[in-house]
Amino acid sequence: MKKVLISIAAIAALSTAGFATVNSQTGCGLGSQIIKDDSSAVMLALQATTNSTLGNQTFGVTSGTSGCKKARFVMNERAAEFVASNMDQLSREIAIGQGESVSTLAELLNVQDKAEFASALQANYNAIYTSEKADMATVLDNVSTIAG
Amino acid sequence: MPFLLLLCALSLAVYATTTDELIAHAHTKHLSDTRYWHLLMHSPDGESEIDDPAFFLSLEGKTNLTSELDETIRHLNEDTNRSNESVFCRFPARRAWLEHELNTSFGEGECREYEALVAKMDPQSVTLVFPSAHINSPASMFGHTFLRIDSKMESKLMSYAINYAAHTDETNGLLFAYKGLFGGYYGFYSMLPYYEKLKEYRDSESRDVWEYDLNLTPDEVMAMVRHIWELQRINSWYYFFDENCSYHMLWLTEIARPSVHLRDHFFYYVIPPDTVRAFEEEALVEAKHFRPSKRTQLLAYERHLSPQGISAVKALSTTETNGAELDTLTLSKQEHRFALEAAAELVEYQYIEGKMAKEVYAARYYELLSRRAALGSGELVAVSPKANPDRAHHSARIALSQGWFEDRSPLLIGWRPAFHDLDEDDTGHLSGAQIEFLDTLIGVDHDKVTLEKLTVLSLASIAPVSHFFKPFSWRMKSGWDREYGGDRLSFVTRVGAGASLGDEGMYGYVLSEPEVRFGFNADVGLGFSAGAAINWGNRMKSHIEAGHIFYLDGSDRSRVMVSQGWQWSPLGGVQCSYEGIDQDYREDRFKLGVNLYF
Repeated sequence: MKKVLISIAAIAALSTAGFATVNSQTGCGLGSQIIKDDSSAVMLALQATTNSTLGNQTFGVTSGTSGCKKARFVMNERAAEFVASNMDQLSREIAIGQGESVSTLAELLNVQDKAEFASALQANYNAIYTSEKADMATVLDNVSTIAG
Repeated sequence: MPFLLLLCALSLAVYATTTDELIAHAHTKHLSDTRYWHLLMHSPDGESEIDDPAFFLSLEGKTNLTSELDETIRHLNEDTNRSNESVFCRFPARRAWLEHELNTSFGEGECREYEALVAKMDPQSVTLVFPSAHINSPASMFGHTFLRIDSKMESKLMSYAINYAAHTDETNGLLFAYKGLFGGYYGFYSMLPYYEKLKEYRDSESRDVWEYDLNLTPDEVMAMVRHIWELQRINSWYYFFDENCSYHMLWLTEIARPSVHLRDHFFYYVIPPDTVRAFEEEALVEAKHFRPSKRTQLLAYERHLSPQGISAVKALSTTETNGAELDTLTLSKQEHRFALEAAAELVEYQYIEGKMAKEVYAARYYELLSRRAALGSGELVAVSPKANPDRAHHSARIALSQGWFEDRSPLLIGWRPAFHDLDEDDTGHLSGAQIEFLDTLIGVDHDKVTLEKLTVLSLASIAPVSHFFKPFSWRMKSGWDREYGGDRLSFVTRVGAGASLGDEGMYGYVLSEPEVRFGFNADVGLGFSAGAAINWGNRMKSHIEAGHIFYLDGSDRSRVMVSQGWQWSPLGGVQCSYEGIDQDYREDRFKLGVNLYF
């Protein structure tokens, strides 16, 4: 009996872990964040470690820019991939004037002076993001014009 | 002299060595008995833990490591197909090791996919990554670990995360748990850019992320990468407790540096925080870094903002208030910057939580950031440092204490395989979270041995509400105790919810807790509890709680509990407590003892 109870309790502890999965919303504009599944609060409360995967995200070395418009100036697939996947974070860091994503972009574009790059982007925020609908290709083109 | 030349020619033409000779050589060297071959085969004791037939070249490869070795040599030496899906390309780690051990070369191949991957990864160093618990989910205290392969790039965001996870589209929680415990899901390796993993853990799940840079050399890292390639699309049964994510990271690291014995640090189950400690004990860690979660970041903004600034943030994020109104407030320029940054973080958080539509979010986020950019560069919000999880008490506990109860004074011996409760020092743990599994307490009084307590499972999530976050607090427990009807054992299941105020240092809570009891007498009741806890900062923890419960049969019970603990190291602590229970009569129980952790 005890063994059964123990198993039941363990199951209770670990159940619902399956709900802890996330949907990856890839897009080319703002809102490419990972959105939490709309599980009920109780389910989330009980969830165990979320180390389960949904879908076929095994060796994701292919580019995440398929379906996005290509940047005109920047023939740099990694930069395009990075910007497409980090639109929100990058946009916030550009507005603040510093951050790891801005430094990463500088490195990907072979920009030497990262601090200068960051403040130039900050000063031109509205020129880079012309509206909330700005997409990866536009942002990257605008960034390279400014950093140019 | 011609003979010598011939000998030289032969040794150069190793490629032409016959398979039988190579196999004979391997047998003379007892290669199939060596540690490295066992590591490559994921075989702790003669049988591989990998369940996928695609991983084995010999039909009996899973159980017969010698035959697998022979077959590997045969394929590497004889196969004419040397493109992507060939043995030559699929098993670069076996190939490199055999070439070295047999002092031979299997020649060249055309492994374009593998080479493209290595070129893209540019493997130089490795970091162990530990996303810690997320609020309101005590079970996540067990955490998760994965490895990150870093390139020469200064930025770590472009590095690749190597993750081992169960692969499932199961939506039935019970079935998921059952299969997780007893086998039924396949585990797979996956590889994704690190920024994707940060979005998942740091942003979407709001878990603080700890990084431990390992001192592996580029050659050792390369050995690991070769083996990771071998595991691509290969599955094994996934088990929550032992063959889980952390366990597989131990294998990978041992393959990189065979002189470390990480797996020897564990008995049966592998809990991710203990993994971190095993890496430290094997002298693998050379630097540690902390990445605050989205929640931690927002709480830091809360601390830096005045009440006026906080209401500005709320107005900016929740209503259609536009940023222009902010200019009319008398905020300092820096606070103005912080308010806009915090509001942008907050709308992003709400969007991730599914509480805001994408269009609304994008418009508001853009507007806030556009205004923020116009204010130029300012200070970065300072996030107060947190205790590293490697300083937390270890997960298994033996408790020895003396009890002074109403009619008896038993010696108490306790055993708890995992993990943490509200009375214990929170250093390195998520404050306010509890998860206990099979907590057992035995009393010995003269010749009488009694079961004092057996908690099958208990969980608590005391999550303080703040200006930006309104989580609820809750607690559950299921197990035997002696808190009802005098000094008698009964089985209780209790689930309650409430709210909490405070922060990691000090918090108070109120909970409403219905319970059902079975044992000598079945009863159902509704209880109310209020409590407070203080983490004094020097590994001292105080916890006080008072509660009253009304039972259906008309009786009621009150309970007061005070506990004080001092953790002298991750390995041990002193704990004393007082418990007063008043049901039919009043009973006082005192306890004083030590907790030993390992």
